[in-house]
Amino acid sequence: MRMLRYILRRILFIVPVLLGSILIAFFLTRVVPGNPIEKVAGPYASNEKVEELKTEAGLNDPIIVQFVHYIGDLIQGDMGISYQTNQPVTKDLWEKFPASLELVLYAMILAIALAIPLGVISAVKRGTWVDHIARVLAVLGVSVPIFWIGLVLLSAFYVRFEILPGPEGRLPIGYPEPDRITGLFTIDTLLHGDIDSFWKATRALILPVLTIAIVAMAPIARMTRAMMIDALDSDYIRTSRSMGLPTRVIVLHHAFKNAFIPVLTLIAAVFGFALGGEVLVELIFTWPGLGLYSYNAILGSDFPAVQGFIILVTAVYILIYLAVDVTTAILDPRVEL
Amino acid sequence: MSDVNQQLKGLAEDFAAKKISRRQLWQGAAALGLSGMWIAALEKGALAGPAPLHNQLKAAGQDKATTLIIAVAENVDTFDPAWTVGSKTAQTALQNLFDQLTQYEIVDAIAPDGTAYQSVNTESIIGMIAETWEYDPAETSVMVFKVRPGVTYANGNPINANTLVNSYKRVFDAGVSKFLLSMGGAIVDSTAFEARDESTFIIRMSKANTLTAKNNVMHNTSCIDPVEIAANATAEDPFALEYFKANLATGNGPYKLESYKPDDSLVLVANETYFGEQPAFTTVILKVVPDATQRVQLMTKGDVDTATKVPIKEYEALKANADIKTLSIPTPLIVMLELNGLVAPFDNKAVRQAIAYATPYQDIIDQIYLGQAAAAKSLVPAGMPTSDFSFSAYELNYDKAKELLAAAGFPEGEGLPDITLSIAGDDVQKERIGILMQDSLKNIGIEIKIEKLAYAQFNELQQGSKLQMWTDEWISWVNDPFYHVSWLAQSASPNNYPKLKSDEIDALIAEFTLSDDTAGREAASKRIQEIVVDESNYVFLCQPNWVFYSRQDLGGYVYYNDELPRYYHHFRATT
Repeated sequence: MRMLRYILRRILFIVPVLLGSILIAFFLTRVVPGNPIEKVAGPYASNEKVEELKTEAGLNDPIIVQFVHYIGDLIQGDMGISYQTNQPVTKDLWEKFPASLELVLYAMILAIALAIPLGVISAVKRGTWVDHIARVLAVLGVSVPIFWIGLVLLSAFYVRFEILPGPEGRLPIGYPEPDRITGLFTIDTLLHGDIDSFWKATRALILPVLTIAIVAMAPIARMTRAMMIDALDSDYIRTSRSMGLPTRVIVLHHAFKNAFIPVLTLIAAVFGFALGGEVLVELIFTWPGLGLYSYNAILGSDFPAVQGFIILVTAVYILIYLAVDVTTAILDPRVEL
Repeated sequence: MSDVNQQLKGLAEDFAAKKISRRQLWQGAAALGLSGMWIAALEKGALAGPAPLHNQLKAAGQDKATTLIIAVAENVDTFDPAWTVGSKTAQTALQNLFDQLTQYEIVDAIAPDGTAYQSVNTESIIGMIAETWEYDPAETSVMVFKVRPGVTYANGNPINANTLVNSYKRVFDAGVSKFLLSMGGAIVDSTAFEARDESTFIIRMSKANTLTAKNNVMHNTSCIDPVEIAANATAEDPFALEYFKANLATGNGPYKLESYKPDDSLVLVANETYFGEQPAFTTVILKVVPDATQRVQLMTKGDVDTATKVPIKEYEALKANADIKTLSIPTPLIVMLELNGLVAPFDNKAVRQAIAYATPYQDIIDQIYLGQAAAAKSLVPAGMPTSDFSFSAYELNYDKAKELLAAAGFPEGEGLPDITLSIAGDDVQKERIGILMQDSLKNIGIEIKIEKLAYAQFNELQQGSKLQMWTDEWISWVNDPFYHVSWLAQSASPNNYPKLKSDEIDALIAEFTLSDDTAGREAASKRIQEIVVDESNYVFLCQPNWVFYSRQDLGGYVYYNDELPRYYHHFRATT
């Protein structure tokens, strides 16, 4: 019951946060120079035609009027029409979100699976060669540009050794997409019984997932190591050792459980960032996700698409942090509900 | 699957009876869930009937002999031919999905390196949907088109003179592509389009001229089925403009649209009702690959047959690649430095001319375009009728530049206001040109700043005449000097961004755009070129070649002046 009240209170906070992000997204896109109408009209349109199109699009209305219309449409689930795709923004986001989600989900699973053990081992074996290697890998992960990692992986596995597919997107060229159930090709192909497409979709994921995982791994490993060191240096761990508890129990059952909570928060932040921010990975691997969509939208001053993207990513961030907060509340009895 | 359900139930019962812990329950459920998915998948696959449609499509997609794959740089921005002025992908797709009334005749040509290829003769217009066409002998301001019998849209709806009247009215009354038909006042309103009978369509021009026929060849005049227009029109949108922005109309060309997914691919398949020869490639896939390096990678690895917008820096490597063939041919595309005549210091002609003398033309051709460009000396480019380079004496000459600058009141650049060279988007070549210019202008005491702007912002500032100097390029879709100069030199033109103002040019354009006086047109064109060169709002940097790259086994490429490939010419060559 208390947990339910805690969750409901957190959900209520979503509303002002979302409204704030809508406000900022709307006004920022209008303040930045450039508008999409000149591109839509093309180089041969007269100035009068351009003005006519701007008026039709409502871009000559006072900004407050534009905002009121936008909110009115948003309440009805209408995020407007993208100038670059000429499709409803909601449809674009519906199509592109699963592409980014699939990529980032597998990347984060891989990153967590590698980073946490690495961080734990590094903390336990502090000062040894294992620790040094782990720290170097972590530094490389945060300092090497993600696009460089992607290009190197492509050059090695696609160009040189020809063992993995190139920058063709989610499936090889010419392969029709599976009928949508979840939007995640690896799941949908299995559910349709199309094993061949499942393997093709999985192979297409390997290099971009690896690229993101290498970069995402670094801060998680570093944070895990730091938190584990703090935990291992604490009084209760010293007490556990003096009581003769096995190292495995001390590290995994006592130290790690306490060290993991801040790491969880970091994982949430990295996940949220990766979902909306992997433009370069999507560009290099021709991945039709949110990153590429938002990049093109920003360059083309495609206001509806930019606004829609910001709202979606904000909502996702909020939900991720809600999940983290609830998990933390479950794991940490010190959290007040 | 029922087995899995049973086992899940069993797990729940064991947990309720405290025979297993919560951890064991979750572990068991996860394992059962995963294996359940596998079992369901295998069952579905194993028990499936004949291969589902998508497997058949997959098989077709992998058939190299009948499938052409192109890596393209951008998405479709609109499916309406009357509105395609932006995305090359959209224009290319529409060019292959729709036939026009007429087309240019294909001719053989030889590239500068001796390679034989095919191009078009823009002075020779032949029928396409129209079986024949002519100027009415009794009234030469009327173009008469005899519609080919039996021509239909891919949905079987007939194309006849009445269809064409309806569709041309739409282009004229509702589309931005109206400019092609109304240029110079050739067509004043949509009553100019008439059906004399079911098979005779006429366009009544305000006066006899040679330009409108050429304008009419462009894909923007493609005809949409009036039945479809009516079906999707509304009271507020009688031309169904909103509908056709996002939805392709049924075409009448050699291909029809199979599917389109933004940021992914566009698939065309052969139109089996097409009146002409069926194309060799029955499936064409335009794969959207935004990054140029990846487009080149896919082509060199053989995953695509050809790629668009390949950066010139790839030229040497691709030329040396035995799997790739390159075709480098001169075109009327001009790259220019534009100087805003309304903004200081470029409101001073002597300053503009000084810039023209301080431009490193040969370095731009050699370093930026790797020699795959020709010198450009006039507004009317080489390859366009009446082009005349004799008026330009501009070449790299710092002494002459300094003289002009001093005469303008800015000796050694002293007293000049801040100057910014603006570059649109992530155009690497223009940026490199900017760096060469920045370096060169230092020799005459001019320091310039380079600013990169997002495309939309650049566009807005350029159209608002707020930029000082910038690089740009232009190719006229119609190979006619007055089509060309109307856009770039007429003072009222929306594309005269550097704001070149000459009453004499305006008068010559007004008089000769629609004239059929060939000698008069030539003389007028040359006079316009002379004035433009002297005014130097445009500094002509070079004419880059059009370079087409493809796998060795791709044959049939034909260069069209609008640079849009027609896939129906292509075939898989035996190597």
